[in-house]
Amino acid sequence: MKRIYIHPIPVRIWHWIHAIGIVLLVITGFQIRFAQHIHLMSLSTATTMHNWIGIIVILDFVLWFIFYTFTGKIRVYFPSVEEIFKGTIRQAIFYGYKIFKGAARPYPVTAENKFNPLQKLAYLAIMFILVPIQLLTGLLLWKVEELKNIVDFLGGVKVVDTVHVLLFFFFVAFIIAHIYLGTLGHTPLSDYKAMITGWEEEPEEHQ
Amino acid sequence: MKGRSWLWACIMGVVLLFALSPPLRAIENSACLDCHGDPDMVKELPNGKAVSLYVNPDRFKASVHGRNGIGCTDCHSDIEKLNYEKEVPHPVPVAPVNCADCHDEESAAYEESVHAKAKAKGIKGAPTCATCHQYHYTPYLAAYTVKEKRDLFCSKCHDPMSHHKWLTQKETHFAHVDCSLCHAKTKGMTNLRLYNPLTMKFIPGGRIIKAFGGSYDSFLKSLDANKNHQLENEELKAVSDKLGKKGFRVALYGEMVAESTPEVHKITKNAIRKCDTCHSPKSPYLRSVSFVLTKPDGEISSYKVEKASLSSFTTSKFYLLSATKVKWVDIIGFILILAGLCFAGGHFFIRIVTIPIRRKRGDK
Repeated sequence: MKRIYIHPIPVRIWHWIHAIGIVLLVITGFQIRFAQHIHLMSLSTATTMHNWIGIIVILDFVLWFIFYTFTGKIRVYFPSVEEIFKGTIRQAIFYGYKIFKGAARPYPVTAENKFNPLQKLAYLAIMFILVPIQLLTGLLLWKVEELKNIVDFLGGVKVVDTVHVLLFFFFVAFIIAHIYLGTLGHTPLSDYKAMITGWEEEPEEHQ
Repeated sequence: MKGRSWLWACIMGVVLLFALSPPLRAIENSACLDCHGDPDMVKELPNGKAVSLYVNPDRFKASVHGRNGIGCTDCHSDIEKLNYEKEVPHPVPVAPVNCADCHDEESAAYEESVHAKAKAKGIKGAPTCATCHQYHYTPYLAAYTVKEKRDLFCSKCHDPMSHHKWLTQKETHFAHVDCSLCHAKTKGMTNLRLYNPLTMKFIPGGRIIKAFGGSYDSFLKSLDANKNHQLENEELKAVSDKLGKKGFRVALYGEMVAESTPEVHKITKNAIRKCDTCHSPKSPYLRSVSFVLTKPDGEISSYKVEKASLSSFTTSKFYLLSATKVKWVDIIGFILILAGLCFAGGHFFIRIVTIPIRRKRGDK
Protein backbone atom coordinates (compact mmCIF):
# COMPACT_ATOMS: atom_id res chain seq x y z
CA MET A 1 0.00 0.00 0.00
CA LYS A 2 1.30 3.41 -0.98
CA ARG A 3 0.17 6.78 0.36
CA ILE A 4 -0.03 9.73 -2.03
CA TYR A 5 -0.58 13.35 -0.95
CA ILE A 6 -3.28 14.58 -3.35
CA HIS A 7 -5.33 17.20 -1.49
CA PRO A 8 -3.23 20.06 -0.01
CA ILE A 9 -4.73 21.98 2.91
CA PRO A 10 -6.21 24.87 0.83
CA VAL A 11 -8.04 22.33 -1.33
CA ARG A 12 -9.46 20.54 1.69
CA ILE A 13 -10.54 23.82 3.34
CA TRP A 14 -12.15 24.94 0.08
CA HIS A 15 -13.87 21.57 -0.42
CA TRP A 16 -15.43 21.33 3.03
CA ILE A 17 -16.56 24.96 3.20
CA HIS A 18 -18.08 24.35 -0.22
CA ALA A 19 -19.69 21.08 0.92
CA ILE A 20 -21.29 22.54 4.04
CA GLY A 21 -22.29 25.65 2.08
CA ILE A 22 -23.93 23.68 -0.71
CA VAL A 23 -25.84 21.45 1.69
CA LEU A 24 -27.19 24.53 3.51
CA LEU A 25 -27.99 26.18 0.18
CA VAL A 26 -29.91 23.08 -0.86
CA ILE A 27 -31.90 22.97 2.39
CA THR A 28 -32.73 26.69 2.32
CA GLY A 29 -33.26 26.46 -1.44
CA PHE A 30 -35.91 23.77 -1.01
CA GLN A 31 -37.55 25.91 1.68
CA ILE A 32 -37.63 28.94 -0.63
CA ARG A 33 -38.88 27.04 -3.66
CA PHE A 34 -41.46 24.95 -1.82
CA ALA A 35 -42.58 27.29 0.95
CA GLN A 36 -46.10 25.84 0.84
CA HIS A 37 -44.97 22.29 1.46
CA ILE A 38 -41.82 22.58 3.58
CA HIS A 39 -41.90 24.32 6.93
CA LEU A 40 -38.37 24.07 8.34
CA MET A 41 -38.05 27.84 8.76
CA SER A 42 -39.77 31.01 7.67
CA LEU A 43 -39.32 32.21 4.10
CA SER A 44 -37.58 35.28 5.43
CA THR A 45 -35.04 33.23 7.45
CA ALA A 46 -34.51 30.90 4.50
CA THR A 47 -33.80 33.73 2.04
CA THR A 48 -31.54 35.58 4.47
CA MET A 49 -29.56 32.39 5.19
CA HIS A 50 -29.48 31.46 1.50
CA ASN A 51 -28.09 34.91 0.61
CA TRP A 52 -25.34 34.89 3.26
CA ILE A 53 -24.27 31.32 2.61
CA GLY A 54 -24.27 32.14 -1.09
CA ILE A 55 -21.78 34.92 -0.48
CA ILE A 56 -19.56 32.57 1.55
CA VAL A 57 -19.67 30.01 -1.28
CA ILE A 58 -18.76 32.73 -3.80
CA LEU A 59 -15.74 33.77 -1.72
CA ASP A 60 -14.86 30.09 -1.32
CA PHE A 61 -15.03 29.66 -5.09
CA VAL A 62 -12.62 32.59 -5.47
CA LEU A 63 -10.27 30.79 -3.01
CA TRP A 64 -10.46 27.64 -5.13
CA PHE A 65 -9.78 29.53 -8.32
CA ILE A 66 -6.83 31.49 -6.91
CA PHE A 67 -5.20 28.41 -5.36
CA TYR A 68 -5.53 26.20 -8.41
CA THR A 69 -4.52 28.95 -10.85
CA PHE A 70 -1.48 30.25 -8.99
CA THR A 71 -0.12 26.81 -8.16
CA GLY A 72 -0.66 25.63 -11.72
CA LYS A 73 -2.65 22.72 -10.38
CA ILE A 74 -5.63 23.89 -12.40
CA ARG A 75 -4.36 21.71 -15.24
CA VAL A 76 -5.68 18.62 -13.41
CA TYR A 77 -9.13 19.74 -14.58
CA PHE A 78 -8.23 19.69 -18.28
CA PRO A 79 -8.42 16.30 -20.00
CA SER A 80 -6.14 15.47 -22.91
CA VAL A 81 -7.68 14.71 -26.31
CA GLU A 82 -7.03 11.02 -25.71
CA GLU A 83 -8.79 11.23 -22.35
CA ILE A 84 -11.83 13.04 -23.77
CA PHE A 85 -12.55 10.38 -26.36
CA LYS A 86 -11.00 7.03 -25.39
CA GLY A 87 -10.53 7.79 -21.71
CA THR A 88 -14.15 8.62 -20.93
CA ILE A 89 -15.31 5.43 -22.64
CA ARG A 90 -12.72 3.33 -20.78
CA GLN A 91 -13.75 4.90 -17.49
CA ALA A 92 -17.47 4.46 -18.25
CA ILE A 93 -16.92 0.79 -19.06
CA PHE A 94 -15.02 0.47 -15.79
CA TYR A 95 -17.80 2.09 -13.73
CA GLY A 96 -20.58 0.28 -15.57
CA TYR A 97 -19.08 -3.19 -15.82
CA LYS A 98 -15.47 -3.94 -14.86
CA ILE A 99 -15.73 -2.53 -11.36
CA PHE A 100 -18.22 -5.27 -10.48
CA LYS A 101 -15.70 -7.90 -11.53
CA GLY A 102 -13.06 -6.32 -9.29
CA ALA A 103 -10.86 -5.11 -12.18
CA ALA A 104 -8.10 -2.58 -11.54
CA ARG A 105 -8.92 1.07 -12.18
CA PRO A 106 -7.91 2.27 -15.66
CA TYR A 107 -6.74 5.63 -14.32
CA PRO A 108 -5.19 5.16 -10.89
CA VAL A 109 -4.63 8.25 -8.77
CA THR A 110 -1.20 9.88 -8.93
CA ALA A 111 0.05 13.00 -7.17
CA GLU A 112 -0.06 14.97 -10.46
CA ASN A 113 -3.23 13.46 -11.88
CA LYS A 114 -5.89 12.87 -9.26
CA PHE A 115 -8.93 12.79 -11.57
CA ASN A 116 -9.99 10.13 -14.06
CA PRO A 117 -11.22 11.35 -17.50
CA LEU A 118 -14.91 11.30 -16.49
CA GLN A 119 -14.12 13.26 -13.33
CA LYS A 120 -12.11 15.75 -15.36
CA LEU A 121 -14.96 16.36 -17.82
CA ALA A 122 -17.60 16.55 -15.10
CA TYR A 123 -15.58 18.86 -12.85
CA LEU A 124 -14.52 20.99 -15.81
CA ALA A 125 -18.15 21.59 -16.75
CA ILE A 126 -19.17 22.08 -13.13
CA MET A 127 -16.36 24.29 -11.84
CA PHE A 128 -15.81 26.37 -14.98
CA ILE A 129 -19.35 26.68 -16.36
CA LEU A 130 -22.18 25.54 -14.10
CA VAL A 131 -20.98 26.81 -10.70
CA PRO A 132 -20.05 30.24 -12.13
CA ILE A 133 -23.49 30.48 -13.79
CA GLN A 134 -25.11 29.48 -10.51
CA LEU A 135 -23.12 32.04 -8.54
CA LEU A 136 -23.87 34.80 -11.06
CA THR A 137 -27.60 34.06 -11.26
CA GLY A 138 -27.61 33.86 -7.47
CA LEU A 139 -26.02 37.31 -7.26
CA LEU A 140 -28.57 38.69 -9.72
CA LEU A 141 -31.47 37.25 -7.73
CA TRP A 142 -29.96 38.56 -4.49
CA LYS A 143 -29.91 42.14 -5.84
CA VAL A 144 -32.67 41.71 -8.39
CA GLU A 145 -33.92 45.30 -8.21
CA GLU A 146 -30.48 46.92 -8.06
CA LEU A 147 -29.21 44.83 -10.97
CA LYS A 148 -32.50 45.12 -12.87
CA ASN A 149 -30.89 46.23 -16.13
CA ILE A 150 -28.81 43.04 -16.30
CA VAL A 151 -31.73 40.86 -15.15
CA ASP A 152 -34.03 42.42 -17.75
CA PHE A 153 -31.36 42.07 -20.42
CA LEU A 154 -31.23 38.33 -19.68
CA GLY A 155 -35.00 38.08 -20.11
CA GLY A 156 -36.36 39.00 -16.71
CA VAL A 157 -36.37 37.68 -13.17
CA LYS A 158 -38.32 34.55 -14.07
CA VAL A 159 -35.76 33.52 -16.70
CA VAL A 160 -32.82 34.08 -14.34
CA ASP A 161 -34.70 32.25 -11.60
CA THR A 162 -35.44 29.31 -13.89
CA VAL A 163 -31.75 28.92 -14.77
CA HIS A 164 -30.84 29.13 -11.08
CA VAL A 165 -33.50 26.60 -10.06
CA LEU A 166 -32.71 24.11 -12.84
CA LEU A 167 -29.03 24.22 -11.89
CA PHE A 168 -30.08 23.86 -8.27
CA PHE A 169 -31.86 20.60 -9.10
CA PHE A 170 -28.90 19.47 -11.18
CA PHE A 171 -26.55 20.09 -8.24
CA VAL A 172 -28.83 18.15 -5.89
CA ALA A 173 -28.67 15.21 -8.30
CA PHE A 174 -24.92 15.69 -8.67
CA ILE A 175 -24.38 15.68 -4.89
CA ILE A 176 -26.20 12.35 -4.62
CA ALA A 177 -23.98 10.88 -7.33
CA HIS A 178 -20.87 12.57 -5.90
CA ILE A 179 -21.40 11.16 -2.41
CA TYR A 180 -22.00 7.71 -3.85
CA LEU A 181 -19.05 7.80 -6.27
CA GLY A 182 -16.88 8.79 -3.30
CA THR A 183 -17.35 5.25 -2.00
CA LEU A 184 -15.82 3.71 -5.15
CA GLY A 185 -12.21 4.28 -4.05
CA HIS A 186 -9.74 1.61 -3.05
CA THR A 187 -11.97 1.02 -0.02
CA PRO A 188 -15.44 2.55 0.44
CA LEU A 189 -14.00 5.16 2.83
CA SER A 190 -10.54 5.77 1.33
CA ASP A 191 -11.64 8.76 -0.81
CA TYR A 192 -13.42 10.29 2.20
CA LYS A 193 -10.29 9.85 4.34
CA ALA A 194 -8.20 11.45 1.61
CA MET A 195 -10.51 14.47 1.51
CA ILE A 196 -9.93 14.90 5.26
CA THR A 197 -6.23 14.00 5.66
CA GLY A 198 -5.04 14.84 2.16
CA TRP A 199 -3.46 11.35 1.73
CA GLU A 200 -4.94 8.81 -0.65
CA GLU A 201 -4.17 5.12 -0.18
CA GLU A 202 -3.42 3.28 -3.38
CA PRO A 203 -2.72 -0.45 -3.80
CA GLU A 204 0.97 -1.06 -4.62
CA GLU A 205 0.30 -2.79 -7.94
CA HIS A 206 -1.01 0.44 -9.47
CA GLN A 207 2.21 2.35 -8.95
CA MET B 1 -101.29 87.44 -29.28
CA LYS B 2 -97.96 88.01 -30.89
CA GLY B 3 -96.69 90.01 -27.94
CA ARG B 4 -97.81 87.35 -25.50
CA SER B 5 -96.03 84.50 -27.33
CA TRP B 6 -92.84 86.55 -27.24
CA LEU B 7 -93.27 86.92 -23.53
CA TRP B 8 -93.76 83.18 -23.13
CA ALA B 9 -90.77 82.43 -25.25
CA CYS B 10 -88.66 84.74 -23.09
CA ILE B 11 -89.89 83.14 -19.86
CA MET B 12 -89.28 79.62 -21.20
CA GLY B 13 -85.83 80.68 -22.39
CA VAL B 14 -84.89 81.96 -18.97
CA VAL B 15 -86.27 78.81 -17.30
CA LEU B 16 -84.34 76.62 -19.72
CA LEU B 17 -81.19 78.62 -19.19
CA PHE B 18 -81.41 78.00 -15.44
CA ALA B 19 -82.35 74.35 -15.90
CA LEU B 20 -79.49 73.54 -18.24
CA SER B 21 -76.76 75.63 -16.64
CA PRO B 22 -74.61 74.07 -13.88
CA PRO B 23 -75.91 74.54 -10.33
CA LEU B 24 -75.28 78.03 -9.21
CA ARG B 25 -72.98 78.60 -6.29
CA ALA B 26 -73.20 81.56 -4.00
CA ILE B 27 -69.64 82.30 -5.03
CA GLU B 28 -68.13 81.09 -8.28
CA ASN B 29 -64.55 79.78 -8.47
CA SER B 30 -63.79 82.62 -10.86
CA ALA B 31 -64.56 85.14 -8.14
CA CYS B 32 -61.99 83.49 -5.85
CA LEU B 33 -59.45 83.16 -8.63
CA ASP B 34 -59.74 86.87 -9.45
CA CYS B 35 -57.40 87.31 -6.53
CA HIS B 36 -56.02 83.81 -5.79
CA GLY B 37 -55.25 83.17 -9.44
CA ASP B 38 -52.54 85.83 -9.26
CA PRO B 39 -49.13 84.14 -8.72
CA ASP B 40 -47.94 87.19 -6.80
CA MET B 41 -50.64 86.97 -4.18
CA VAL B 42 -48.93 86.56 -0.82
CA LYS B 43 -49.86 87.05 2.78
CA GLU B 44 -47.37 88.46 5.21
CA LEU B 45 -47.10 86.63 8.52
CA PRO B 46 -46.43 88.46 11.80
CA ASN B 47 -42.86 87.10 11.70
CA GLY B 48 -42.31 88.88 8.39
CA LYS B 49 -42.36 85.76 6.25
CA ALA B 50 -44.55 85.69 3.18
CA VAL B 51 -46.91 82.84 2.41
CA SER B 52 -48.21 82.36 -1.11
CA LEU B 53 -52.00 82.33 -1.42
CA TYR B 54 -51.85 81.54 -5.10
CA VAL B 55 -53.93 78.71 -6.52
CA ASN B 56 -52.95 77.59 -10.02
CA PRO B 57 -56.33 77.50 -11.83
CA ASP B 58 -55.25 74.84 -14.34
CA ARG B 59 -53.78 72.52 -11.74
CA PHE B 60 -56.88 72.89 -9.60
CA LYS B 61 -59.11 72.13 -12.58
CA ALA B 62 -57.09 68.94 -13.21
CA SER B 63 -57.33 67.81 -9.60
CA VAL B 64 -59.81 65.22 -8.34
CA HIS B 65 -61.97 68.00 -6.91
CA GLY B 66 -61.69 70.32 -9.89
CA ARG B 67 -62.70 67.58 -12.29
CA ASN B 68 -65.66 66.57 -10.17
CA GLY B 69 -67.03 70.09 -10.11
CA ILE B 70 -66.17 70.78 -6.48
CA GLY B 71 -65.87 74.53 -6.04
CA CYS B 72 -63.76 76.62 -3.71
CA THR B 73 -66.59 77.33 -1.27
CA ASP B 74 -67.69 73.68 -1.14
CA CYS B 75 -64.62 73.12 1.03
CA HIS B 76 -64.11 76.67 2.32
CA SER B 77 -67.73 76.60 3.43
CA ASP B 78 -67.38 79.37 5.98
CA ILE B 79 -67.16 81.84 3.10
CA GLU B 80 -70.81 82.48 2.31
CA LYS B 81 -70.57 85.83 0.54
CA LEU B 82 -67.90 88.22 -0.58
CA ASN B 83 -67.85 91.74 0.73
CA TYR B 84 -65.77 93.81 -1.63
CA GLU B 85 -66.00 96.84 0.60
CA LYS B 86 -63.40 95.23 2.85
CA GLU B 87 -59.74 94.83 1.93
CA VAL B 88 -60.13 91.05 2.17
CA PRO B 89 -63.65 90.21 1.04
CA HIS B 90 -64.01 87.09 3.22
CA PRO B 91 -63.54 86.22 6.90
CA VAL B 92 -59.88 86.20 7.94
CA PRO B 93 -58.55 83.73 8.80
CA VAL B 94 -60.74 81.28 6.90
CA ALA B 95 -61.81 78.26 8.94
CA PRO B 96 -59.79 75.08 8.42
CA VAL B 97 -61.33 72.81 5.82
CA ASN B 98 -62.97 69.72 7.26
CA CYS B 99 -62.40 66.92 4.72
CA ALA B 100 -64.60 64.61 6.81
CA ASP B 101 -67.67 66.65 5.78
CA CYS B 102 -67.55 64.69 2.53
CA HIS B 103 -64.99 61.94 3.23
CA ASP B 104 -66.50 60.59 6.43
CA GLU B 105 -65.47 56.93 5.97
CA GLU B 106 -61.91 57.84 5.02
CA SER B 107 -61.75 60.17 7.97
CA ALA B 108 -63.03 57.50 10.37
CA ALA B 109 -60.35 55.10 9.11
CA TYR B 110 -57.69 57.80 9.47
CA GLU B 111 -58.76 58.40 13.10
CA GLU B 112 -57.71 54.81 13.86
CA SER B 113 -54.36 55.19 12.14
CA VAL B 114 -50.91 55.65 13.62
CA HIS B 115 -50.93 59.07 11.94
CA ALA B 116 -53.99 60.24 13.89
CA LYS B 117 -52.46 58.89 17.11
CA ALA B 118 -49.30 60.88 16.41
CA LYS B 119 -51.39 63.96 15.80
CA ALA B 120 -53.31 63.42 19.04
CA LYS B 121 -50.02 63.20 20.91
CA GLY B 122 -49.13 66.58 19.48
CA ILE B 123 -46.16 65.28 17.50
CA LYS B 124 -44.94 68.02 15.18
CA GLY B 125 -45.43 67.18 11.54
CA ALA B 126 -47.95 64.41 12.22
CA PRO B 127 -49.77 64.06 8.93
CA THR B 128 -53.27 65.31 8.27
CA CYS B 129 -55.22 64.78 5.03
CA ALA B 130 -53.41 67.48 3.08
CA THR B 131 -49.95 66.26 4.06
CA CYS B 132 -50.44 63.37 1.68
CA HIS B 133 -53.23 64.55 -0.62
CA GLN B 134 -52.15 68.22 -1.02
CA TYR B 135 -54.47 71.17 -0.53
CA HIS B 136 -55.67 72.23 -3.94
CA TYR B 137 -54.10 69.80 -6.36
CA THR B 138 -55.30 66.45 -4.97
CA PRO B 139 -54.28 64.00 -7.70
CA TYR B 140 -56.00 60.94 -9.11
CA LEU B 141 -53.96 58.04 -7.83
CA ALA B 142 -55.01 55.09 -9.98
CA ALA B 143 -52.33 55.68 -12.61
CA TYR B 144 -49.58 56.22 -10.06
CA THR B 145 -46.99 53.49 -9.85
CA VAL B 146 -46.07 51.95 -6.51
CA LYS B 147 -42.91 54.05 -6.49
CA GLU B 148 -44.70 57.26 -7.40
CA LYS B 149 -47.23 56.74 -4.61
CA ARG B 150 -44.43 56.07 -2.15
CA ASP B 151 -42.62 59.26 -3.18
CA LEU B 152 -45.81 61.27 -2.99
CA PHE B 153 -46.94 59.91 0.37
CA CYS B 154 -44.80 57.79 2.64
CA SER B 155 -41.29 58.81 1.62
CA LYS B 156 -42.05 62.42 2.49
CA CYS B 157 -41.57 61.47 6.14
CA HIS B 158 -40.31 57.88 6.21
CA ASP B 159 -37.22 56.29 4.74
CA PRO B 160 -38.34 52.72 4.06
CA MET B 161 -34.74 51.50 3.76
CA SER B 162 -33.90 52.48 7.32
CA HIS B 163 -36.80 50.40 8.65
CA HIS B 164 -37.93 46.91 7.62
CA LYS B 165 -34.76 45.34 9.02
CA TRP B 166 -36.42 41.93 9.01
CA LEU B 167 -37.40 42.15 5.35
CA THR B 168 -35.24 40.58 2.67
CA GLN B 169 -35.19 41.98 -0.86
CA LYS B 170 -36.22 45.43 0.38
CA GLU B 171 -35.68 47.20 -2.94
CA THR B 172 -37.75 44.62 -4.78
CA HIS B 173 -40.60 44.85 -2.33
CA PHE B 174 -40.58 48.64 -2.40
CA ALA B 175 -40.62 48.65 -6.20
CA HIS B 176 -43.55 46.27 -6.56
CA VAL B 177 -45.73 46.46 -3.44
CA ASP B 178 -47.83 49.37 -2.14
CA CYS B 179 -46.79 50.40 1.38
CA SER B 180 -50.46 50.43 2.39
CA LEU B 181 -50.96 46.83 1.29
CA CYS B 182 -49.04 45.67 4.37
CA HIS B 183 -49.44 48.77 6.54
CA ALA B 184 -53.21 49.17 6.18
CA LYS B 185 -53.98 45.48 5.62
CA THR B 186 -56.40 46.43 2.88
CA LYS B 187 -57.76 44.35 0.06
CA GLY B 188 -55.30 44.24 -2.76
CA MET B 189 -54.77 43.13 -6.32
CA THR B 190 -52.07 42.56 -8.89
CA ASN B 191 -51.75 44.95 -11.81
CA LEU B 192 -49.71 44.39 -14.95
CA ARG B 193 -48.47 47.60 -16.51
CA LEU B 194 -46.75 48.18 -19.82
CA TYR B 195 -43.07 48.77 -19.34
CA ASN B 196 -40.15 49.30 -21.69
CA PRO B 197 -37.33 47.07 -20.47
CA LEU B 198 -34.76 49.00 -22.51
CA THR B 199 -35.51 52.47 -21.21
CA MET B 200 -36.80 50.99 -17.92
CA LYS B 201 -39.79 53.35 -18.07
CA PHE B 202 -43.51 52.74 -17.98
CA ILE B 203 -45.40 53.24 -21.23
CA PRO B 204 -48.38 55.59 -20.79
CA GLY B 205 -51.64 54.19 -22.16
CA GLY B 206 -52.12 57.41 -24.10
CA ARG B 207 -49.23 56.53 -26.40
CA ILE B 208 -50.75 53.14 -27.14
CA ILE B 209 -54.15 54.62 -27.95
CA LYS B 210 -52.53 57.28 -30.12
CA ALA B 211 -50.80 54.54 -32.13
CA PHE B 212 -53.82 52.25 -32.44
CA GLY B 213 -56.71 54.71 -32.41
CA GLY B 214 -60.08 54.07 -30.79
CA SER B 215 -60.80 54.25 -27.09
CA TYR B 216 -59.03 52.69 -24.14
CA ASP B 217 -61.86 50.23 -23.62
CA SER B 218 -62.12 49.26 -27.28
CA PHE B 219 -58.36 48.64 -27.40
CA LEU B 220 -58.50 46.42 -24.32
CA LYS B 221 -61.47 44.51 -25.75
CA SER B 222 -59.53 43.97 -28.99
CA LEU B 223 -56.91 42.03 -27.00
CA ASP B 224 -59.52 39.56 -25.79
CA ALA B 225 -59.58 37.32 -28.86
CA ASN B 226 -62.03 34.75 -27.50
CA LYS B 227 -64.27 37.43 -25.96
CA ASN B 228 -64.56 35.72 -22.59
CA HIS B 229 -63.90 38.95 -20.68
CA GLN B 230 -60.46 37.97 -19.50
CA LEU B 231 -57.00 37.74 -21.03
CA GLU B 232 -55.49 34.26 -20.97
CA ASN B 233 -51.79 33.62 -21.32
CA GLU B 234 -51.92 33.32 -25.12
CA GLU B 235 -53.83 36.59 -25.43
CA LEU B 236 -51.43 38.32 -23.06
CA LYS B 237 -48.50 36.96 -25.07
CA ALA B 238 -50.06 38.42 -28.23
CA VAL B 239 -50.07 41.89 -26.65
CA SER B 240 -46.33 42.35 -27.04
CA ASP B 241 -46.49 41.14 -30.67
CA LYS B 242 -49.34 43.50 -31.42
CA LEU B 243 -47.55 46.44 -29.81
CA GLY B 244 -44.24 45.37 -31.32
CA LYS B 245 -45.68 45.88 -34.80
CA LYS B 246 -46.12 49.56 -33.97
CA GLY B 247 -42.60 49.82 -32.64
CA PHE B 248 -43.29 49.38 -28.95
CA ARG B 249 -40.84 47.30 -26.98
CA VAL B 250 -42.94 46.08 -24.06
CA ALA B 251 -42.75 43.92 -21.01
CA LEU B 252 -45.36 43.46 -18.30
CA TYR B 253 -44.44 44.98 -14.97
CA GLY B 254 -46.29 43.47 -12.03
CA GLU B 255 -47.36 45.51 -9.04
CA MET B 256 -49.30 44.46 -5.97
CA VAL B 257 -51.47 47.39 -5.08
CA ALA B 258 -53.95 48.26 -2.38
CA GLU B 259 -57.54 48.64 -3.41
CA SER B 260 -58.63 52.24 -3.16
CA THR B 261 -61.01 51.91 -0.23
CA PRO B 262 -61.41 54.10 2.88
CA GLU B 263 -59.45 51.49 4.89
CA VAL B 264 -56.27 52.55 3.09
CA HIS B 265 -56.16 55.45 5.55
CA LYS B 266 -55.94 53.15 8.57
CA ILE B 267 -52.16 52.98 8.43
CA THR B 268 -50.67 50.92 11.24
CA LYS B 269 -47.18 50.32 12.54
CA ASN B 270 -47.98 46.63 12.99
CA ALA B 271 -47.83 45.76 9.34
CA ILE B 272 -48.25 42.31 7.84
CA ARG B 273 -45.02 40.40 8.47
CA LYS B 274 -46.08 36.97 7.33
CA CYS B 275 -44.32 36.28 4.04
CA ASP B 276 -46.87 33.74 2.88
CA THR B 277 -49.63 36.36 2.89
CA CYS B 278 -48.27 37.20 -0.54
CA HIS B 279 -45.81 34.37 -1.25
CA SER B 280 -48.41 31.69 -1.76
CA PRO B 281 -50.49 30.68 -4.77
CA LYS B 282 -53.47 31.27 -2.48
CA SER B 283 -52.50 34.88 -1.76
CA PRO B 284 -55.60 37.11 -1.62
CA TYR B 285 -53.70 39.67 -3.68
CA LEU B 286 -53.56 37.26 -6.60
CA ARG B 287 -57.33 36.78 -6.71
CA SER B 288 -57.69 39.83 -8.91
CA VAL B 289 -55.15 40.31 -11.69
CA SER B 290 -55.56 43.07 -14.26
CA PHE B 291 -53.87 44.42 -17.33
CA VAL B 292 -53.74 48.18 -16.92
CA LEU B 293 -53.52 51.13 -19.29
CA THR B 294 -52.85 54.49 -17.68
CA LYS B 295 -54.65 57.59 -18.88
CA PRO B 296 -53.24 61.09 -19.03
CA ASP B 297 -55.76 62.31 -16.44
CA GLY B 298 -54.42 59.90 -13.83
CA GLU B 299 -57.14 57.30 -14.19
CA ILE B 300 -56.73 53.81 -15.61
CA SER B 301 -58.53 51.39 -17.88
CA SER B 302 -58.08 47.80 -16.89
CA TYR B 303 -58.95 44.33 -18.13
CA LYS B 304 -59.13 41.10 -16.15
CA VAL B 305 -56.21 38.70 -16.60
CA GLU B 306 -56.26 34.98 -15.90
CA LYS B 307 -54.16 34.31 -12.79
CA ALA B 308 -52.31 31.38 -14.44
CA SER B 309 -50.58 33.87 -16.78
CA LEU B 310 -48.50 34.95 -13.81
CA SER B 311 -46.96 31.47 -13.70
CA SER B 312 -45.63 31.68 -17.24
CA PHE B 313 -42.78 33.38 -19.06
CA THR B 314 -45.24 35.87 -20.54
CA THR B 315 -44.82 37.75 -17.28
CA SER B 316 -41.10 37.07 -17.08
CA LYS B 317 -40.40 40.38 -15.35
CA PHE B 318 -42.67 39.51 -12.43
CA TYR B 319 -41.98 36.66 -10.08
CA LEU B 320 -43.63 36.33 -6.71
CA LEU B 321 -41.39 33.81 -5.02
CA SER B 322 -43.03 30.39 -4.58
CA ALA B 323 -46.40 31.81 -5.66
CA THR B 324 -46.10 32.36 -9.40
CA LYS B 325 -43.46 29.81 -10.34
CA VAL B 326 -43.36 27.99 -13.64
CA LYS B 327 -44.52 24.45 -12.85
CA TRP B 328 -42.55 22.43 -15.44
CA VAL B 329 -39.28 23.66 -13.94
CA ASP B 330 -40.05 21.68 -10.78
CA ILE B 331 -41.05 18.61 -12.80
CA ILE B 332 -37.68 18.63 -14.62
CA GLY B 333 -36.04 19.12 -11.24
CA PHE B 334 -37.65 16.04 -9.73
CA ILE B 335 -36.72 13.97 -12.76
CA LEU B 336 -33.07 15.08 -12.31
CA ILE B 337 -33.07 14.17 -8.61
CA LEU B 338 -34.77 10.86 -9.34
CA ALA B 339 -32.12 10.12 -11.97
CA GLY B 340 -29.37 10.82 -9.41
CA LEU B 341 -31.02 8.51 -6.89
CA CYS B 342 -31.58 5.76 -9.45
CA PHE B 343 -27.96 5.93 -10.60
CA ALA B 344 -26.51 5.75 -7.09
CA GLY B 345 -29.07 3.20 -5.85
CA GLY B 346 -28.83 1.02 -8.95
CA HIS B 347 -25.03 0.96 -8.97
CA PHE B 348 -24.93 0.21 -5.25
CA PHE B 349 -27.42 -2.64 -5.71
CA ILE B 350 -25.33 -4.25 -8.46
CA ARG B 351 -22.23 -3.79 -6.30
CA ILE B 352 -23.87 -5.73 -3.50
CA VAL B 353 -25.18 -8.45 -5.79
CA THR B 354 -21.76 -8.93 -7.44
CA ILE B 355 -19.79 -9.26 -4.18
CA PRO B 356 -19.46 -13.09 -4.64
CA ILE B 357 -17.88 -12.60 -8.10
CA ARG B 358 -15.19 -10.29 -6.72
CA ARG B 359 -14.59 -12.55 -3.72
CA LYS B 360 -13.99 -15.47 -6.04
CA ARG B 361 -11.45 -13.48 -8.09
CA GLY B 362 -9.74 -12.36 -4.90
CA ASP B 363 -9.36 -15.96 -3.71
CA LYS B 364 -7.66 -16.84 -6.97
